[in-house]
Amino acid sequence: MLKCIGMAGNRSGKSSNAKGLWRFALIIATVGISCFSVTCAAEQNRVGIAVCSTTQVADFVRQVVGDRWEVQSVLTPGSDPHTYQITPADVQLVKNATLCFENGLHLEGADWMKNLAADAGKKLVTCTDRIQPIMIEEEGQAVPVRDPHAWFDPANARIYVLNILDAVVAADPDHEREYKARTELYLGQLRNLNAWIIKQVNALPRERRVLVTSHDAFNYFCKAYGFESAAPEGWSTGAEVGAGVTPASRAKAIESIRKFGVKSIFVETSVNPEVIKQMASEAGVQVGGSLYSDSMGPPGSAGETYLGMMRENVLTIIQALE
Amino acid sequence: MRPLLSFIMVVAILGGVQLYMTHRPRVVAYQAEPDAVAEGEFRLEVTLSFAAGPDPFALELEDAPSLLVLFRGQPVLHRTNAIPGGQVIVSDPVDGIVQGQNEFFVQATCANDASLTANAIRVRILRDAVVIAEQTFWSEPGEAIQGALNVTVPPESSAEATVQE
Repeated sequence: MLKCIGMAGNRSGKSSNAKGLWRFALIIATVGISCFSVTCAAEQNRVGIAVCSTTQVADFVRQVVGDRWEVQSVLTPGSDPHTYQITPADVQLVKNATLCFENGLHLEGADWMKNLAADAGKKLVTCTDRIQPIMIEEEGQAVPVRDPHAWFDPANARIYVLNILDAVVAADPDHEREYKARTELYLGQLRNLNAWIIKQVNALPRERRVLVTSHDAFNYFCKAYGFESAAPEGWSTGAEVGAGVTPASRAKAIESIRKFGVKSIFVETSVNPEVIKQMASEAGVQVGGSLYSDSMGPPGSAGETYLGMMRENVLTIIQALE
Repeated sequence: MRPLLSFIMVVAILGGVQLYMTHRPRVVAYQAEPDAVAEGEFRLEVTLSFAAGPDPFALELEDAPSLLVLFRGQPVLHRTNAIPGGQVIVSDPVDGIVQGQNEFFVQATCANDASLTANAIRVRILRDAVVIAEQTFWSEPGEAIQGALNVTVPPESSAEATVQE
Protein backbone atom coordinates (compact mmCIF):
# COMPACT_ATOMS: atom_id res chain seq x y z
CA MET A 1 0.00 0.00 0.00
CA LEU A 2 2.76 2.29 1.04
CA LYS A 3 4.63 1.34 -2.09
CA CYS A 4 1.55 2.18 -4.15
CA ILE A 5 1.18 5.55 -2.50
CA GLY A 6 4.84 6.17 -2.97
CA MET A 7 4.63 5.33 -6.66
CA ALA A 8 1.54 7.46 -7.11
CA GLY A 9 3.27 10.34 -5.34
CA ASN A 10 6.30 9.90 -7.55
CA ARG A 11 4.14 9.86 -10.67
CA SER A 12 2.29 13.05 -9.60
CA GLY A 13 5.68 14.64 -8.81
CA LYS A 14 6.94 13.75 -12.28
CA SER A 15 3.78 15.17 -13.83
CA SER A 16 4.13 18.44 -11.90
CA ASN A 17 7.82 18.61 -12.90
CA ALA A 18 6.86 18.15 -16.53
CA LYS A 19 4.19 20.86 -16.22
CA GLY A 20 6.78 23.16 -14.63
CA LEU A 21 9.20 22.49 -17.45
CA TRP A 22 6.52 23.20 -20.05
CA ARG A 23 5.63 26.45 -18.32
CA PHE A 24 9.29 27.43 -18.17
CA ALA A 25 9.75 26.60 -21.85
CA LEU A 26 6.63 28.62 -22.72
CA ILE A 27 7.92 31.65 -20.79
CA ILE A 28 11.36 31.39 -22.45
CA ALA A 29 9.73 31.07 -25.88
CA THR A 30 7.49 34.10 -25.23
CA VAL A 31 10.39 36.22 -24.03
CA GLY A 32 12.51 35.08 -27.00
CA ILE A 33 9.79 35.88 -29.52
CA SER A 34 9.23 39.32 -27.91
CA CYS A 35 12.95 40.13 -28.02
CA PHE A 36 13.14 38.97 -31.63
CA SER A 37 10.14 41.11 -32.64
CA VAL A 38 11.55 44.15 -30.80
CA THR A 39 14.90 43.72 -32.57
CA CYS A 40 13.18 43.25 -35.92
CA ALA A 41 11.04 46.35 -35.30
CA ALA A 42 14.13 48.38 -34.41
CA GLU A 43 15.91 47.15 -37.52
CA GLN A 44 12.84 47.85 -39.66
CA ASN A 45 12.84 51.44 -38.34
CA ARG A 46 16.44 51.85 -39.51
CA VAL A 47 16.74 53.96 -42.60
CA GLY A 48 20.26 53.13 -43.69
CA ILE A 49 23.86 52.44 -42.83
CA ALA A 50 26.35 55.29 -42.34
CA VAL A 51 29.99 54.32 -42.73
CA CYS A 52 32.42 56.88 -41.35
CA SER A 53 36.17 57.13 -41.74
CA THR A 54 37.12 58.20 -38.20
CA THR A 55 35.75 57.78 -34.70
CA GLN A 56 35.04 61.51 -34.33
CA VAL A 57 33.00 61.65 -37.52
CA ALA A 58 31.11 58.51 -36.44
CA ASP A 59 30.25 60.16 -33.12
CA PHE A 60 28.93 63.30 -34.85
CA VAL A 61 26.84 61.18 -37.21
CA ARG A 62 25.46 59.18 -34.27
CA GLN A 63 24.39 62.41 -32.57
CA VAL A 64 22.37 63.46 -35.62
CA VAL A 65 20.79 60.15 -36.66
CA GLY A 66 20.29 58.51 -33.27
CA ASP A 67 18.96 54.98 -33.74
CA ARG A 68 17.51 55.69 -37.18
CA TRP A 69 20.73 54.63 -38.88
CA GLU A 70 23.33 52.04 -38.18
CA VAL A 71 26.61 53.93 -37.75
CA GLN A 72 29.92 52.20 -38.35
CA SER A 73 33.46 53.51 -38.29
CA VAL A 74 36.29 52.22 -40.46
CA LEU A 75 38.89 53.25 -37.89
CA THR A 76 38.79 51.74 -34.43
CA PRO A 77 39.69 53.77 -31.31
CA GLY A 78 43.42 54.42 -31.18
CA SER A 79 43.99 54.05 -34.95
CA ASP A 80 45.92 56.62 -36.92
CA PRO A 81 43.99 57.97 -39.95
CA HIS A 82 47.12 59.41 -41.60
CA THR A 83 48.84 56.04 -41.99
CA TYR A 84 45.84 53.68 -42.11
CA GLN A 85 45.93 50.88 -44.69
CA ILE A 86 42.52 49.70 -45.89
CA THR A 87 41.55 46.03 -45.53
CA PRO A 88 39.11 43.78 -47.46
CA ALA A 89 36.69 44.11 -44.52
CA ASP A 90 36.62 47.90 -45.07
CA VAL A 91 35.74 47.38 -48.72
CA GLN A 92 32.82 45.16 -47.67
CA LEU A 93 31.73 47.69 -45.03
CA VAL A 94 31.59 50.56 -47.53
CA LYS A 95 29.84 48.32 -50.08
CA ASN A 96 26.88 47.97 -47.67
CA ALA A 97 26.75 51.68 -46.83
CA THR A 98 23.88 54.02 -47.65
CA LEU A 99 26.06 57.08 -47.07
CA CYS A 100 29.78 57.47 -46.40
CA PHE A 101 31.29 60.24 -44.28
CA GLU A 102 34.89 61.43 -44.14
CA ASN A 103 36.75 64.19 -42.31
CA GLY A 104 38.45 65.50 -45.46
CA LEU A 105 41.35 67.97 -45.84
CA HIS A 106 43.51 64.85 -46.39
CA LEU A 107 43.25 63.62 -42.80
CA GLU A 108 42.66 60.21 -44.33
CA GLY A 109 46.20 59.59 -45.65
CA ALA A 110 46.31 59.14 -49.45
CA ASP A 111 42.53 59.83 -49.42
CA TRP A 112 41.70 56.23 -48.52
CA MET A 113 38.06 56.99 -47.63
CA LYS A 114 37.49 58.84 -50.92
CA ASN A 115 38.91 55.87 -52.80
CA LEU A 116 36.83 53.36 -50.84
CA ALA A 117 33.60 55.29 -51.51
CA ALA A 118 34.45 55.89 -55.18
CA ASP A 119 35.26 52.21 -55.76
CA ALA A 120 31.96 51.16 -54.18
CA GLY A 121 30.04 53.88 -56.04
CA LYS A 122 28.74 55.38 -52.79
CA LYS A 123 27.99 59.02 -51.99
CA LEU A 124 30.68 60.56 -49.79
CA VAL A 125 30.04 63.48 -47.46
CA THR A 126 33.07 65.57 -46.50
CA CYS A 127 32.42 66.96 -43.03
CA THR A 128 34.99 69.77 -43.25
CA ASP A 129 33.24 71.44 -46.21
CA ARG A 130 32.59 75.15 -45.47
CA ILE A 131 35.25 75.18 -42.71
CA GLN A 132 37.89 77.89 -42.93
CA PRO A 133 41.07 75.80 -42.63
CA ILE A 134 44.22 76.87 -40.82
CA MET A 135 47.15 76.89 -43.24
CA ILE A 136 50.36 75.27 -42.01
CA GLU A 137 53.76 75.95 -43.44
CA GLU A 138 55.68 72.69 -43.58
CA GLU A 139 59.42 72.28 -43.87
CA GLY A 140 60.38 71.49 -47.43
CA GLN A 141 56.89 72.29 -48.77
CA ALA A 142 56.58 75.26 -51.08
CA VAL A 143 52.84 75.71 -50.54
CA PRO A 144 51.20 75.79 -47.10
CA VAL A 145 48.94 72.82 -46.38
CA ARG A 146 45.45 72.87 -44.88
CA ASP A 147 45.32 71.52 -41.32
CA PRO A 148 42.73 68.71 -41.23
CA HIS A 149 42.24 68.56 -37.42
CA ALA A 150 39.37 71.03 -37.51
CA TRP A 151 37.16 69.24 -34.93
CA PHE A 152 39.35 70.54 -32.09
CA ASP A 153 37.43 73.83 -32.21
CA PRO A 154 33.82 73.19 -31.07
CA ALA A 155 32.66 75.96 -33.44
CA ASN A 156 34.00 73.80 -36.29
CA ALA A 157 32.37 70.73 -34.77
CA ARG A 158 29.10 72.60 -35.37
CA ILE A 159 29.92 72.76 -39.10
CA TYR A 160 30.70 69.02 -39.16
CA VAL A 161 27.30 68.35 -37.59
CA LEU A 162 25.46 70.70 -39.98
CA ASN A 163 27.11 69.05 -43.03
CA ILE A 164 26.04 65.67 -41.68
CA LEU A 165 22.51 66.99 -41.05
CA ASP A 166 22.19 68.26 -44.63
CA ALA A 167 23.31 64.91 -46.07
CA VAL A 168 21.10 62.84 -43.80
CA VAL A 169 18.03 65.01 -44.45
CA ALA A 170 18.63 64.76 -48.20
CA ALA A 171 18.83 60.96 -47.90
CA ASP A 172 15.82 60.64 -45.57
CA PRO A 173 13.58 63.74 -45.73
CA ASP A 174 10.73 61.96 -43.90
CA HIS A 175 12.54 62.29 -40.58
CA GLU A 176 13.89 65.81 -41.07
CA ARG A 177 12.29 67.22 -37.91
CA GLU A 178 13.71 64.43 -35.81
CA TYR A 179 17.24 64.95 -37.17
CA LYS A 180 16.98 68.72 -36.70
CA ALA A 181 15.78 68.34 -33.11
CA ARG A 182 18.69 66.05 -32.29
CA THR A 183 21.15 68.40 -33.99
CA GLU A 184 19.83 71.40 -32.07
CA LEU A 185 20.20 69.50 -28.82
CA TYR A 186 23.77 68.54 -29.69
CA LEU A 187 24.65 72.11 -30.69
CA GLY A 188 23.52 73.16 -27.22
CA GLN A 189 25.94 70.62 -25.77
CA LEU A 190 28.74 71.98 -27.97
CA ARG A 191 27.91 75.50 -26.73
CA ASN A 192 28.18 74.27 -23.13
CA LEU A 193 31.44 72.49 -23.92
CA ASN A 194 32.90 75.68 -25.39
CA ALA A 195 31.90 77.73 -22.35
CA TRP A 196 33.34 75.08 -20.03
CA ILE A 197 36.67 74.97 -21.89
CA ILE A 198 36.96 78.77 -21.79
CA LYS A 199 36.33 78.72 -18.05
CA GLN A 200 38.98 76.03 -17.51
CA VAL A 201 41.56 77.69 -19.77
CA ASN A 202 41.03 81.08 -18.11
CA ALA A 203 42.30 79.55 -14.87
CA LEU A 204 45.65 79.02 -16.57
CA PRO A 205 48.03 82.04 -16.73
CA ARG A 206 48.53 83.20 -20.31
CA GLU A 207 52.30 82.56 -20.26
CA ARG A 208 51.70 78.88 -19.45
CA ARG A 209 49.42 78.30 -22.42
CA VAL A 210 51.94 76.42 -24.55
CA LEU A 211 50.93 73.05 -25.90
CA VAL A 212 53.68 70.69 -27.09
CA THR A 213 52.31 67.44 -28.53
CA SER A 214 53.55 64.55 -30.66
CA HIS A 215 52.21 65.89 -33.94
CA ASP A 216 50.71 69.13 -35.15
CA ALA A 217 47.06 68.29 -34.41
CA PHE A 218 46.03 70.98 -31.96
CA ASN A 219 46.29 74.18 -34.02
CA TYR A 220 42.51 74.74 -34.05
CA PHE A 221 42.31 74.16 -30.30
CA CYS A 222 45.25 76.51 -29.71
CA LYS A 223 43.77 79.21 -31.94
CA ALA A 224 40.34 79.01 -30.28
CA TYR A 225 41.62 79.11 -26.71
CA GLY A 226 44.76 81.25 -26.94
CA PHE A 227 47.53 78.62 -26.75
CA GLU A 228 50.90 78.53 -28.51
CA SER A 229 51.49 75.17 -30.19
CA ALA A 230 54.63 73.24 -31.03
CA ALA A 231 55.15 69.69 -32.29
CA PRO A 232 58.17 67.74 -33.51
CA GLU A 233 56.12 66.01 -36.22
CA GLY A 234 54.21 67.90 -38.87
CA TRP A 235 50.44 67.96 -39.35
CA SER A 236 50.51 64.29 -40.42
CA THR A 237 52.17 61.32 -38.74
CA GLY A 238 52.84 59.76 -42.13
CA ALA A 239 56.24 60.60 -43.58
CA GLU A 240 54.88 59.84 -47.04
CA VAL A 241 52.99 63.11 -47.02
CA GLY A 242 55.93 65.26 -46.16
CA ALA A 243 55.83 64.94 -42.40
CA GLY A 244 57.47 62.78 -39.74
CA VAL A 245 60.10 63.90 -37.24
CA THR A 246 63.13 65.59 -38.72
CA PRO A 247 66.18 66.68 -36.68
CA ALA A 248 65.28 70.30 -37.47
CA SER A 249 61.63 69.99 -36.35
CA ARG A 250 62.73 68.18 -33.21
CA ALA A 251 65.30 70.86 -32.38
CA LYS A 252 62.71 73.56 -33.05
CA ALA A 253 60.22 71.93 -30.68
CA ILE A 254 62.85 71.59 -27.92
CA GLU A 255 63.80 75.23 -28.45
CA SER A 256 60.12 76.21 -28.03
CA ILE A 257 59.91 74.18 -24.81
CA ARG A 258 62.94 76.00 -23.38
CA LYS A 259 61.92 79.42 -24.73
CA PHE A 260 58.44 79.35 -23.21
CA GLY A 261 59.53 77.58 -20.00
CA VAL A 262 57.04 74.79 -20.66
CA LYS A 263 56.37 72.60 -17.64
CA SER A 264 54.86 69.56 -19.37
CA ILE A 265 54.55 68.13 -22.86
CA PHE A 266 51.99 65.61 -24.06
CA VAL A 267 51.84 62.30 -25.87
CA GLU A 268 48.86 61.33 -28.04
CA THR A 269 46.78 58.17 -27.83
CA SER A 270 47.11 57.41 -31.54
CA VAL A 271 50.82 58.26 -31.95
CA ASN A 272 53.92 56.40 -30.74
CA PRO A 273 54.91 58.19 -27.48
CA GLU A 274 58.65 57.45 -27.70
CA VAL A 275 59.66 60.68 -29.49
CA ILE A 276 57.89 62.84 -26.92
CA LYS A 277 59.35 60.87 -24.02
CA GLN A 278 62.87 61.30 -25.41
CA MET A 279 62.26 65.01 -25.99
CA ALA A 280 60.91 65.43 -22.47
CA SER A 281 64.03 63.92 -20.95
CA GLU A 282 66.25 65.97 -23.29
CA ALA A 283 64.49 69.24 -22.45
CA GLY A 284 64.18 68.41 -18.76
CA VAL A 285 60.39 68.55 -18.60
CA GLN A 286 57.76 65.99 -17.65
CA VAL A 287 55.26 64.17 -19.84
CA GLY A 288 51.98 65.73 -18.76
CA GLY A 289 49.74 62.92 -19.93
CA SER A 290 48.12 61.42 -22.96
CA LEU A 291 45.76 63.41 -25.21
CA TYR A 292 43.12 62.11 -27.59
CA SER A 293 43.99 63.51 -31.00
CA ASP A 294 43.22 61.76 -34.29
CA SER A 295 41.14 59.09 -32.63
CA MET A 296 38.77 58.92 -29.70
CA GLY A 297 38.94 56.46 -26.82
CA PRO A 298 37.61 52.90 -26.61
CA PRO A 299 34.06 52.21 -25.27
CA GLY A 300 33.85 52.83 -21.55
CA SER A 301 36.70 55.36 -21.51
CA ALA A 302 36.30 59.10 -20.93
CA GLY A 303 37.20 59.69 -24.56
CA GLU A 304 34.46 57.47 -25.93
CA THR A 305 32.56 60.51 -27.25
CA TYR A 306 33.69 63.81 -28.74
CA LEU A 307 32.42 65.76 -25.71
CA GLY A 308 34.17 63.38 -23.31
CA MET A 309 37.35 63.42 -25.35
CA MET A 310 37.51 67.22 -25.35
CA ARG A 311 36.80 67.48 -21.63
CA GLU A 312 39.39 64.82 -20.81
CA ASN A 313 42.00 66.57 -22.97
CA VAL A 314 41.34 69.94 -21.34
CA LEU A 315 41.55 68.50 -17.83
CA THR A 316 44.84 66.74 -18.69
CA ILE A 317 46.29 69.94 -20.19
CA ILE A 318 45.21 72.19 -17.32
CA GLN A 319 46.39 69.81 -14.59
CA ALA A 320 49.80 69.42 -16.23
CA LEU A 321 50.42 73.08 -17.05
CA GLU A 322 49.03 74.90 -14.03
CA MET B 1 -24.56 38.82 0.52
CA ARG B 2 -21.39 39.77 -1.32
CA PRO B 3 -23.15 41.24 -4.40
CA LEU B 4 -25.35 43.31 -2.11
CA LEU B 5 -22.31 44.59 -0.21
CA SER B 6 -20.55 45.46 -3.48
CA PHE B 7 -23.66 47.26 -4.71
CA ILE B 8 -23.87 49.30 -1.49
CA MET B 9 -20.19 50.25 -1.77
CA VAL B 10 -20.58 51.32 -5.40
CA VAL B 11 -23.64 53.44 -4.53
CA ALA B 12 -21.75 55.01 -1.62
CA ILE B 13 -18.71 55.89 -3.75
CA LEU B 14 -20.74 57.28 -6.66
CA GLY B 15 -22.95 59.21 -4.24
CA GLY B 16 -19.89 60.71 -2.59
CA VAL B 17 -18.48 61.82 -5.91
CA GLN B 18 -21.84 63.29 -6.96
CA LEU B 19 -22.08 65.15 -3.64
CA TYR B 20 -18.58 66.60 -4.09
CA MET B 21 -19.30 67.65 -7.68
CA THR B 22 -22.48 69.50 -6.67
CA HIS B 23 -20.99 71.31 -3.69
CA ARG B 24 -17.40 71.99 -4.83
CA PRO B 25 -16.34 75.66 -5.00
CA ARG B 26 -17.01 77.19 -8.38
CA VAL B 27 -14.04 78.48 -10.39
CA VAL B 28 -14.72 82.04 -11.41
CA ALA B 29 -12.90 83.39 -14.44
CA TYR B 30 -10.42 86.10 -13.44
CA GLN B 31 -11.31 89.42 -14.97
CA ALA B 32 -8.09 91.25 -15.66
CA GLU B 33 -8.34 94.98 -15.79
CA PRO B 34 -6.50 96.52 -18.72
CA ASP B 35 -3.25 98.18 -17.63
CA ALA B 36 -3.15 101.94 -17.86
CA VAL B 37 -0.58 103.07 -20.42
CA ALA B 38 2.09 105.24 -18.82
CA GLU B 39 2.38 108.79 -20.04
CA GLY B 40 5.49 110.14 -21.74
CA GLU B 41 7.95 109.07 -24.44
CA PHE B 42 10.00 105.99 -23.60
CA ARG B 43 13.36 105.07 -25.06
CA LEU B 44 15.53 101.98 -24.60
CA GLU B 45 19.34 102.12 -24.75
CA VAL B 46 21.60 99.07 -24.77
CA THR B 47 25.40 99.23 -24.54
CA LEU B 48 27.60 96.17 -24.90
CA SER B 49 31.06 95.78 -23.37
CA PHE B 50 31.98 93.31 -26.10
CA ALA B 51 31.57 92.66 -29.82
CA ALA B 52 28.30 90.81 -30.27
CA GLY B 53 27.68 88.40 -33.10
CA PRO B 54 25.26 85.64 -34.02
CA ASP B 55 25.40 82.60 -31.74
CA PRO B 56 28.26 80.47 -33.15
CA PHE B 57 26.39 77.31 -32.16
CA ALA B 58 22.99 78.16 -33.67
CA LEU B 59 21.33 75.70 -36.03
CA GLU B 60 20.50 78.48 -38.51
CA LEU B 61 23.17 81.15 -38.29
CA GLU B 62 21.25 83.58 -40.54
CA ASP B 63 18.32 83.90 -38.12
CA ALA B 64 20.34 83.73 -34.89
CA PRO B 65 20.12 87.06 -33.04
CA SER B 66 23.25 88.79 -31.84
CA LEU B 67 21.10 91.11 -29.70
CA LEU B 68 17.47 90.62 -28.73
CA VAL B 69 15.28 92.66 -26.39
CA LEU B 70 11.72 91.44 -25.89
CA PHE B 71 8.94 93.44 -24.29
CA ARG B 72 5.57 91.75 -23.74
CA GLY B 73 6.77 88.92 -25.95
CA GLN B 74 7.48 91.22 -28.89
CA PRO B 75 10.97 92.19 -30.09
CA VAL B 76 11.87 95.79 -29.31
CA LEU B 77 15.41 95.25 -30.60
CA HIS B 78 16.41 92.39 -32.87
CA ARG B 79 19.83 92.42 -34.53
CA THR B 80 21.41 89.54 -36.41
CA ASN B 81 24.52 91.39 -37.56
CA ALA B 82 27.80 91.94 -35.71
CA ILE B 83 27.68 94.81 -33.20
CA PRO B 84 30.92 96.44 -32.03
CA GLY B 85 31.51 96.85 -28.31
CA GLY B 86 30.79 100.27 -26.80
CA GLN B 87 28.18 101.26 -29.37
CA VAL B 88 24.84 102.41 -27.95
CA ILE B 89 21.92 100.61 -29.58
CA VAL B 90 18.68 102.57 -29.32
CA SER B 91 15.02 101.73 -29.66
CA ASP B 92 12.96 104.93 -29.72
CA PRO B 93 10.08 105.15 -28.94
CA VAL B 94 9.14 102.05 -26.97
CA ASP B 95 5.36 101.73 -27.07
CA GLY B 96 3.10 99.90 -24.67
CA ILE B 97 4.84 100.66 -21.36
CA VAL B 98 2.21 100.62 -18.64
CA GLN B 99 1.90 102.04 -15.16
CA GLY B 100 3.25 99.46 -12.73
CA GLN B 101 5.23 96.37 -13.61
CA ASN B 102 7.07 96.15 -16.97
CA GLU B 103 9.51 93.43 -17.89
CA PHE B 104 12.21 93.49 -20.61
CA PHE B 105 13.95 90.27 -21.55
CA VAL B 106 17.51 90.88 -22.81
CA GLN B 107 19.75 88.42 -24.66
CA ALA B 108 23.10 88.94 -26.40
CA THR B 109 25.70 86.53 -27.73
CA CYS B 110 29.33 87.41 -28.16
CA ALA B 111 31.23 86.92 -31.38
CA ASN B 112 33.49 83.90 -30.96
CA ASP B 113 36.79 85.79 -30.75
CA ALA B 114 35.53 87.95 -27.87
CA SER B 115 34.38 85.10 -25.71
CA LEU B 116 37.50 84.53 -23.60
CA THR B 117 36.55 87.28 -21.17
CA ALA B 118 33.51 87.94 -18.99
CA ASN B 119 30.99 90.18 -20.74
CA ALA B 120 28.51 92.81 -19.66
CA ILE B 121 25.53 94.60 -21.15
CA ARG B 122 24.04 97.87 -19.84
CA VAL B 123 20.33 98.48 -20.35
CA ARG B 124 18.72 101.89 -19.69
CA ILE B 125 15.09 103.00 -19.91
CA LEU B 126 14.47 106.70 -20.42
CA ARG B 127 11.18 108.54 -19.96
CA ASP B 128 11.03 111.96 -21.62
CA ALA B 129 14.85 111.91 -21.91
CA VAL B 130 15.30 111.16 -18.18
CA VAL B 131 16.79 107.82 -17.13
CA ILE B 132 14.21 106.02 -15.02
CA ALA B 133 15.84 102.62 -14.83
CA GLU B 134 19.18 101.03 -15.60
CA GLN B 135 20.75 97.69 -14.97
CA THR B 136 23.90 95.77 -15.98
CA PHE B 137 23.85 92.09 -16.83
CA TRP B 138 26.96 89.91 -16.72
CA SER B 139 27.89 86.57 -18.22
CA GLU B 140 30.69 84.09 -17.70
CA PRO B 141 33.21 83.83 -20.58
CA GLY B 142 31.80 81.95 -23.54
CA GLU B 143 28.22 82.16 -22.34
CA ALA B 144 25.42 84.24 -23.82
CA ILE B 145 24.08 87.07 -21.66
CA GLN B 146 20.48 86.63 -20.62
CA GLY B 147 18.50 88.62 -18.12
CA ALA B 148 15.25 90.37 -17.33
CA LEU B 149 14.90 94.02 -16.42
CA ASN B 150 11.85 94.57 -14.21
CA VAL B 151 10.78 98.21 -14.04
CA THR B 152 7.89 99.54 -12.00
CA VAL B 153 6.75 102.70 -13.77
CA PRO B 154 4.86 105.29 -11.64
CA PRO B 155 1.85 107.17 -13.09
CA GLU B 156 3.55 110.58 -12.97
CA SER B 157 6.46 111.45 -15.19
CA SER B 158 8.28 113.19 -12.36
CA ALA B 159 8.20 110.23 -9.96
CA GLU B 160 11.14 107.80 -9.92
CA ALA B 161 10.73 104.30 -11.33
CA THR B 162 11.97 101.31 -9.36
CA VAL B 163 13.99 98.39 -10.69
CA GLN B 164 13.63 94.97 -9.13
CA GLU B 165 17.03 93.25 -9.07
